Amino acid sequence: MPKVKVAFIQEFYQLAGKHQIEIELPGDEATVRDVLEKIPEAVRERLFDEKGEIRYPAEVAVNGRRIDFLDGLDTKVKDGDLILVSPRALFVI
Amino acid sequence: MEFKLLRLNLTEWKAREEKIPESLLRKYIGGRGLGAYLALKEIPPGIDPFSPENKIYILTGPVVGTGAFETGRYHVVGKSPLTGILGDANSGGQFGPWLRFAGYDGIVVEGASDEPVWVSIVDGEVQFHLAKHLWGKGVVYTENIIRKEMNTPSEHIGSILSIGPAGENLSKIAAIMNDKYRAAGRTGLAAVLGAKKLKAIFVKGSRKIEIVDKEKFKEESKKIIDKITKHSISEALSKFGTAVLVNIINSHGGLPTKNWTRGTFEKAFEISGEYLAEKYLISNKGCWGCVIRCSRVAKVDSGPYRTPVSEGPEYESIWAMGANTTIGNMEALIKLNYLANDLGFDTISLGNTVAVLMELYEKAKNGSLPEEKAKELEELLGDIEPSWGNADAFAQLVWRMAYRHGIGDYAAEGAKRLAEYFGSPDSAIHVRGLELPAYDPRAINSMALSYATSNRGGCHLRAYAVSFDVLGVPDKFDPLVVDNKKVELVKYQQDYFSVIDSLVICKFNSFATDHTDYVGVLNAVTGWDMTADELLTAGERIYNLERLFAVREGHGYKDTLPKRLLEEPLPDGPAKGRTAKEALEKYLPYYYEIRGWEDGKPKPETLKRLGLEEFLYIL
Repeated sequence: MPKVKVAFIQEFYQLAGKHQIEIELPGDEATVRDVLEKIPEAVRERLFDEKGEIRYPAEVAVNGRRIDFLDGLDTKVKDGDLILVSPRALFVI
Repeated sequence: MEFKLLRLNLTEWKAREEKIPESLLRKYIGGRGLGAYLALKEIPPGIDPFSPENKIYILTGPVVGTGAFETGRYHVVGKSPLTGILGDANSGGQFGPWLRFAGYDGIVVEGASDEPVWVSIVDGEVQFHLAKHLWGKGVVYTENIIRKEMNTPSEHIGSILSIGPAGENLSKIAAIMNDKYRAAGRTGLAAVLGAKKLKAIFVKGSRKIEIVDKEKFKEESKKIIDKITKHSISEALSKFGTAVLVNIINSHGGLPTKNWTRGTFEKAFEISGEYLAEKYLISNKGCWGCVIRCSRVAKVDSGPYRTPVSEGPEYESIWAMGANTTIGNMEALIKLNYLANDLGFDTISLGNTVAVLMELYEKAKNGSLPEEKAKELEELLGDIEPSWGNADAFAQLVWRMAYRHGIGDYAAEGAKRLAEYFGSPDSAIHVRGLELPAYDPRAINSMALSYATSNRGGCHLRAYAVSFDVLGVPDKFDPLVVDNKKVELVKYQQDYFSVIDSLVICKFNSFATDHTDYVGVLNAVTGWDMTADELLTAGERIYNLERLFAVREGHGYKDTLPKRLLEEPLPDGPAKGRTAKEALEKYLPYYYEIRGWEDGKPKPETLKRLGLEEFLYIL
């Protein structure tokens, strides 16, 4: 089965209880939305707003590209992709 | 507004006071700006940075120590032995405020002493002390002894700035340290203090910082503190520190690994802020008057990397000594960070330099170094085997570099000189001689412009383009797409950060604020009537002034990147197959256009517009 990795940063790491998990893709046409349905519920609650959109100030990236610059939650994913779930706005030196 | 400088003449062991006219402060603010102006006026062109003619300016700014917000920093300026142009560095902790409380807003270190010396400044009274018993000693020991001699055991009272053995032995990558673990790290200015034989400065006092309009000051600083504390970053920094960036930058393929030959590190999580917080963190700590408190306090209890309670490591140090040398062991990194601080090294330059040595060692083994150089390297290394990821070899090298034994004598010169000596100049990843920090511009393309045009050399603190390319502040941009709006943001940040370094406040303020927030506080403290635009123009003036220093030296104004970043595509990660060439070539002409520069030099009309007519002679 094709699989992707999902990595959690900072508060999402604390909510998930681990840095990285592996998720099996339901099929060839899987999207970021499909993958994020399978992450721990505590993370989902923080990550999505009531409309099912990514809640500010969180960020989701596929292989380092933020999904805003791809197809949003409908971005297609494939075997071996790395999906990052991270808070935004870390102005860090 | 009064700004009092203390000139320390080390040749004669004499001190004298000097007042800086207010008109000069309005133009250059303080800190980095004032330092750049004084350096350009007072340091003769073409001098050897180690000669007594070089000067070190240790400066605060108008809001330092007022408690308005994060105002606990100081800035150091001088001619850099590493780059040969204007060098500067900034540090937090307590030293900046205590210098002002001791009676002075800045110190100018001049001349050179015959004997090692340290200086105490207590309530305006200056004393020179012999430092023979401190010479050769680490930073922690030095501070402990000075505190005993000054009868000031509490680390909450008074503050000490010092150099470690690295600075004494003129390592060009030595850091000026304060409050044991804080570093004004970059551009090797500690070695200039070493050449002047100044081991340390102790400051203590009870002078009150003058604030002209106290009511307005309270009101304006409350506005800023509210903005900062309500921003999500404050909590994030407090909880995980700067190292939280490791996983983020790694996932973008921009975490330079194995001396900039890769963009991702397989052990990134094991050297991340999350891992540090979970396994080794004792508490967090803040600079004087800080509400964010991003500094880490960690220790390693047992094993080969046992380390006492100390501050750090920060993101940059973890990357430079970790991913860049492929050391994926957090305990080793805590230990190396402690050693680097105590011996007085700039951890960014140190990590880069050791990574170069590891590459040279590999090249010597596989026959791609000139034969006689490979042989010499082997002899100089002796029993050290700096293979990739070898933390124990790294630890031994830090000592040898600090005291200049064997290969350490060559490595203490920094990455560029080390690589050149052994016939592999492109192994050193630097701009103007200063080793680059932890973001690969092949994956984060605005950093290509930011690094190439940074006046002090390879640096992420002139413009932190990562903020918009990766972190989405103030707006989101795709790090792999070339977009001229990013050029405008780089220029804005360069000017704005010049203001921040001249007020001498923390750049962590600036994720929640912009230049318009600070002018109110500055006016309240000084009684001025400056506008936000005038403040930003002062930043632009300072940026041009620094560039003029390089123009006058006749080198260091060519804006480019190391060959590896321009010609060798990243082999992995989201930026696989990319170099930084396209971005830099597209960004640079537009950057020069909006700066009013030509071929890296300000045009005469630009200097006139910024009120820098007195420096037209340099062009």
